[in-house]
Amino acid sequence: MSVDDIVLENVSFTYEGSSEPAIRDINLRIPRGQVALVTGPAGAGKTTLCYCLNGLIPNFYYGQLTGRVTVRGLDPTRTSIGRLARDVGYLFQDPSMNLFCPTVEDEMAFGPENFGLPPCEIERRTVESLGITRLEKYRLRNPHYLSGGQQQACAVGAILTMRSNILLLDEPTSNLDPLGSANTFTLIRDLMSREQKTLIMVEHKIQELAPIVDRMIVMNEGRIILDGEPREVLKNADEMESLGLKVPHASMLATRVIERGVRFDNFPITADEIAQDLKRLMKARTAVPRLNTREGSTAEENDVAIEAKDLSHTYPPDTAALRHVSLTIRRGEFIGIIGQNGSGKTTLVKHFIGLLKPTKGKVTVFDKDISQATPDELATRVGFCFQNPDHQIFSDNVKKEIEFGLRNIGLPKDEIESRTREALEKVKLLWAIDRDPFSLGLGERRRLGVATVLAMKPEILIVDEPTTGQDFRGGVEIMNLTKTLNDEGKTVLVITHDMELASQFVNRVIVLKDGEIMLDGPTREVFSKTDQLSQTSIRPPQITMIAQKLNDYLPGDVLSVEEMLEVLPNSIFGAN
Amino acid sequence: MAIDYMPGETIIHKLDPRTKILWITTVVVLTISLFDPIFLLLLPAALIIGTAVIAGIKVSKLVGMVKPLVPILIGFMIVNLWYYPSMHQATPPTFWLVPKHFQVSLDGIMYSLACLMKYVALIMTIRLMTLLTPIYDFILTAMKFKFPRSAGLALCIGLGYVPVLINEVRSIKESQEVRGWKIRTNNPIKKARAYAPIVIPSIRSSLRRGEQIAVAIEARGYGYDIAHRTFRRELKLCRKDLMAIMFLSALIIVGLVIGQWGLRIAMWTFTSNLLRSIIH
Repeated sequence: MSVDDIVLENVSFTYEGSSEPAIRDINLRIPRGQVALVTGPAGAGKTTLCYCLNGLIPNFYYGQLTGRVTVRGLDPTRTSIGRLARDVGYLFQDPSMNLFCPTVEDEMAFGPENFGLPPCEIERRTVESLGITRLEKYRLRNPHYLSGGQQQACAVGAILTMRSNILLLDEPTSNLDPLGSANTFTLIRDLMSREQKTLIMVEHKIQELAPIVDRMIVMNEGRIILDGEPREVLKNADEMESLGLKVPHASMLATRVIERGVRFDNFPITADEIAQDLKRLMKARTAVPRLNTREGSTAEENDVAIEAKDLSHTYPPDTAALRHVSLTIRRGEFIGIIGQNGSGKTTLVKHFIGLLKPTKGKVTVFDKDISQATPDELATRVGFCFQNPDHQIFSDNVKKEIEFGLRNIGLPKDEIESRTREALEKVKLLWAIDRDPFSLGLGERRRLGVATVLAMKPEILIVDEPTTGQDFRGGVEIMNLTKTLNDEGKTVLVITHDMELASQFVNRVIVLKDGEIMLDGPTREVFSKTDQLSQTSIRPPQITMIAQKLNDYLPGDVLSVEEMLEVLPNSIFGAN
Repeated sequence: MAIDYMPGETIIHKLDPRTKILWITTVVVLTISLFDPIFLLLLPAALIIGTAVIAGIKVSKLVGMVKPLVPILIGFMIVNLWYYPSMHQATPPTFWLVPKHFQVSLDGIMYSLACLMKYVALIMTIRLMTLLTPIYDFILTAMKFKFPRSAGLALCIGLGYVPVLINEVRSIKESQEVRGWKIRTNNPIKKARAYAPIVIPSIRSSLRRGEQIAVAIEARGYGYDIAHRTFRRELKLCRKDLMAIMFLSALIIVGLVIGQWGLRIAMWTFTSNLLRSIIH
């Protein structure tokens, strides 16, 4: 019989000052060496569960804990956090909480130093960790100056040196670009094959993790609602999607196809699996059907909103962030800007609102040369929603927060009043008009951030990464909102790392790589260029990849499960 | 920024921070006790420049540090020249810089020059040390001299966060700029109030960070057994340090003997007398 590393019996926890429990009636046993994925929408209690395992609850975060927690035989209520840290290595969700030492080396040595180990042992572990995380070259760098993926590697390395038997990784890739995520997942896979550690990961990226974990646990409203082998759990694709989770397209498609009478020996959870199965069903090759696509760009005749001509930007002393970028954006377009961190996405859009001036070249916004404009002059024409709403909130109520921008542009009182209500109405926050912004949840604060910009009635709206700090559903909410605005005729630009969101919403995609435009065209066209995208480590939505694998039978530019069902030959349904 | 450590592998970089502190002390003692341009050039100036050269730091970088202070230094020089004759009996040669108003003597020039060199030397010393020593080494040294360990660690972590905070304040400022925020007044009180949209989120975010770090270091085992925590980089004096310490101590003694205490030959009159004897 295997030993259980973690045992939770009827565990509930209510944070001090809160009326609702954050987790309730959790019963969970995790045997030594198991790799488990915990997923669920925001507020499901995933992080609270982690805190119960590493002793931050109840030793740091106070509240009412009932039931029994046992971690490698220890009772966290009677053990110090420091002692538990020897057994449980925890990677925080907020990346800046994982890195606080002056150099990578210090970061990795921090844990063992706390345990009072002799310097030679600390050195040995540090060197080993540097090797596993491939950070040897950066040993003396300040971790904050590394790339996102390297920062996460450093944080993982700092936990590995503690030699804890249980690793708890709380959303290890939530703030990473596609390349950083891919590298982190590779690192995790390496770890799994090297060491027999108990590994618990909280993640939204089910598609990447489901195929490699032993077990999948889905939480909602503080409870565990699904628990089992990934293949079994994913059979509940519909239920998971209704929770706002990002279910792999492979499983979603499989569910739809099964409904139509197809049977699979093994429920598919990866693109390869379902492509194989469908191929088998479509043995007889018929003519490749074509998608009935509706999107003819209507924006082509519209007047120009933004134009960049041979735009280059160099940060001092000599970092070339943008090189010779030329593009035209017309009124009413809905554009996704994608690319790795450092590819120049944010630098590019900051030129559209005058936060940056071109080093070379020219940018015009509604025929106004940007080098002669300041952000406050442009504020009424271009709205910019930053990733972190907390960076702008400074008032003690929602109303004043929105009025701030309107007063800056010198509007009369009654106009301010009506615009404030209108903007809050749009983001569905009118009920909160007199509330303290910080009494709202992060998703709501994010919408408040959008409202402060909407109230200015800009003609162009720029949104930087709608998914930051949110679950998939939160991102979809923001995108739905921008979609409505786009339908009203506003020009919308969205920077995102989430290809599913991009494919669902935008009409045109611009891919940046090393400060240059690599691809620019209709969404469907860009995402079907898998080879070119892979040069910058971007993977199109899974459904597109499935379609590409079935290129002999189906069009390769499918963007959604619905479209896929449309083009699948009827002959396969009920065929077996 | 004043704390931009320049990493390197030279003998100077590798010295123990305590030796480096003795180095600063030596320059300070020498500059205070010597009061003559020639001696200042021979001892502290040579020491500073010599160290910079061995450490592979361009002298121009040191000069660059002094450049912004040039107007102040010139003013300082003039004041010294002005006051000198009133403090001391003017020995010839003397001449009028502004007839009837501003008399300058050779002694006065030497005195002012010496003062100027002292200031420049002190500025360069501090600058050179921050370039050659990571700030964390100073904290380690402080801990060696009974500075509380937990406070030392807190300081290290705080400094590690500087780049994060700078970034954060920048992005807070941008977030408000795109909402039309701009300082539109010259009235200092109104101006201070206009900064609220920047200051409030910044303070809130640093407070939040403070709490986060407290949680974060605990989760990495900080409370495990503080009394027996390992400090990996234990400070150790090696042969290089001992030799440097002997050399620096000798310099201090020489400085004191020829300067303030013993011979008192290193006064500004030394150079002026020397010049006089050459002229005659």
